[in-house]
Amino acid sequence: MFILSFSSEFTIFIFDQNDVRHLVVCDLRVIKQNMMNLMDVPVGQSARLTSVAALLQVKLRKHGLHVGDRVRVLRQAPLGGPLLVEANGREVALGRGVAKKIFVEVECASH
Amino acid sequence: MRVALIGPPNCGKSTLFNQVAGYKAETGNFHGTTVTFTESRVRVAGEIIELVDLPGTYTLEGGSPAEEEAARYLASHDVDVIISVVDATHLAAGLELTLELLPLKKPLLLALNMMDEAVYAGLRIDGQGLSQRLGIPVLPVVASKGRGVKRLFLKCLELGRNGQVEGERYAGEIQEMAVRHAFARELVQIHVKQGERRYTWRDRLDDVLLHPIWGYVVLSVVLFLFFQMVYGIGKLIEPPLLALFELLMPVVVVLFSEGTILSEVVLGGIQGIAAGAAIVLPYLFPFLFGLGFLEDIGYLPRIAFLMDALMHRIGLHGKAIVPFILGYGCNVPAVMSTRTLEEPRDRYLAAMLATLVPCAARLVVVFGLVAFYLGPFAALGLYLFNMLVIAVTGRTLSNMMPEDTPGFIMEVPPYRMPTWRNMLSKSWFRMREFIVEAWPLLIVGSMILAVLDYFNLTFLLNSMLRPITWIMGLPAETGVALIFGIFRKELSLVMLGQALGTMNFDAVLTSTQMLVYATFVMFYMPCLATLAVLKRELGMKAMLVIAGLTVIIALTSSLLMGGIAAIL
Repeated sequence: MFILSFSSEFTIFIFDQNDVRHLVVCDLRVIKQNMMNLMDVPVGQSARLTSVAALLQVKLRKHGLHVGDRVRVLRQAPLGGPLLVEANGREVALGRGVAKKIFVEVECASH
Repeated sequence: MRVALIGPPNCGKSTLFNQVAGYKAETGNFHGTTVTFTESRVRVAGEIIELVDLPGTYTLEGGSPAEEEAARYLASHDVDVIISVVDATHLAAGLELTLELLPLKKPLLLALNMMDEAVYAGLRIDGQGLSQRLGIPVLPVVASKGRGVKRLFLKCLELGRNGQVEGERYAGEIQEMAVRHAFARELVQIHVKQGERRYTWRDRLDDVLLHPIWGYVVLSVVLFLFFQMVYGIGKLIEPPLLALFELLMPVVVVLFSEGTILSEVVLGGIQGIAAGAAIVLPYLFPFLFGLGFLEDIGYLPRIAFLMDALMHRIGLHGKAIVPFILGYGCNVPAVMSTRTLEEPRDRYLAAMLATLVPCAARLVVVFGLVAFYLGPFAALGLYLFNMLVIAVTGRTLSNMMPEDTPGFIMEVPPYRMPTWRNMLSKSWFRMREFIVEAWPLLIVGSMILAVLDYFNLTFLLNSMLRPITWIMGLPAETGVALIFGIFRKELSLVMLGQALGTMNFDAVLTSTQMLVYATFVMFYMPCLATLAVLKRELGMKAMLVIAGLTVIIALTSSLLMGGIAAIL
């Protein structure tokens, strides 16, 4: 498989499968958009949890945060401090290190 | 009849328990204050109920000690009725646990606690619908005000007498955690009408208290008032208390022939008791009470939120701020409070750093020596220097102990009005730990000191410590005061006066020597009581490592302070 990267935005994958040569062009901007983490969500916006590392999932569940839940970012502490998010009526503070490992998708802009 | 209370952390279980049983369970607006269960006998409508308060838990199958404890208890004991307590404003979380309890086939009640807050939040909960769907009675209560509690227990008695599970229980598939979560959310969607989620007073308060600038201003003011209150009350109570012991001592000494070893030891013992009383009653109690207030009202998690960024710089996270605040009062409860941290690494680091925080006894040394002779700004400078040393130590140590933890996750609860009952019982709980763990050591330590003094072993101690005192450029006589300081920190000032033969320190010490001495006292060796608690919380090895490290830190920083003083 070849990977040709033209810029930080486009990557081309070339690979053979069943004797057919495939060429896939990926727009990384699209991928990045789909792989947002909680840190990228602006204050006041809502997002849906899409994927979280298994170990972290267990910890989050204890605070009522499950994959698939809708969370709203309420506040951000200054100077690299934690985020305050609301989910299922509970408010939870998440350190930045944690928030970066929580992947989300942003819902319709009207929220 | 045995009735078990179970529910998620912070749902008001313990408040409900205390409402019925008196002052036994420790409650707080923070996570996991109930670690083991409390049992109490209560009389309801002529019948005796054994009421059990289980540790707060979200599920019975999680791995934490609290969860295992709760699951084990429900499985092993003959529990007649289970009351599942849920916070009505966080219904989904509580319902998940309730669903997990359904298959136990025991009489089960759902208590919707904090209904008043739910009403404020604009939630309308259809209890009847919920009850029909689940097949168990659902009752509203406001535990903090005692509303609905009687009705709850009468119903409970009725269920317990029947002994049978009445009605048709929900029998859907609820084995998997994910399924329960989804079902609980569905139940909430159907049975709870969310009126406008308004911009509540909580949000308004948080806008100020968690504000990037005002939040810290308020925090500084709150902490300032807090320490003012503690020292204000302490100063009011301590002198008459000590005067009382001064009166007592000659009376006791008369019983033994004066000047013998026996009378010296007895005197030492009384001095230990007096020192404990002078710390515990005037300072520690207001300290713990004030902290309990901040905790119950819900401010402590907000402090953790605000301080998280700063604490990260020294390799810890926001929750670890509590040992630091406590440390300024006494290192013993500070080390104990590291228990609330989940990761062993965090507990170790926080305990280590908390022992470097100058406690009230070391404040005596700093004030008596530095503030008195060199002015308040020198004392303030020393405190700032102390914070700097803690920060550098934290950074260095955390680099050596890389973090493999998922980081900071902490629930921020709503504000609640604290009750006197809860705050008093909690302060008592924590104070009892000091009385049981630390006070006896203070007394024994004082007795040992009396023996050392009696046999005039001070010369030996001085020469033993000579290498250290020589490096720092201090007179040899300071050695004995430093040894005594390990027993009780304030003795490093009292004994200094005795060793040097005068309390007029500026006649015998240069200002640099005073600064160096105060700096060394600030950091070296946790006191005997703190060492004992370190051993209990972290083990013998950790205690020795921490003790050794503090000596190294003390030496380095006092040499540094000597250099700074020479330049200024």
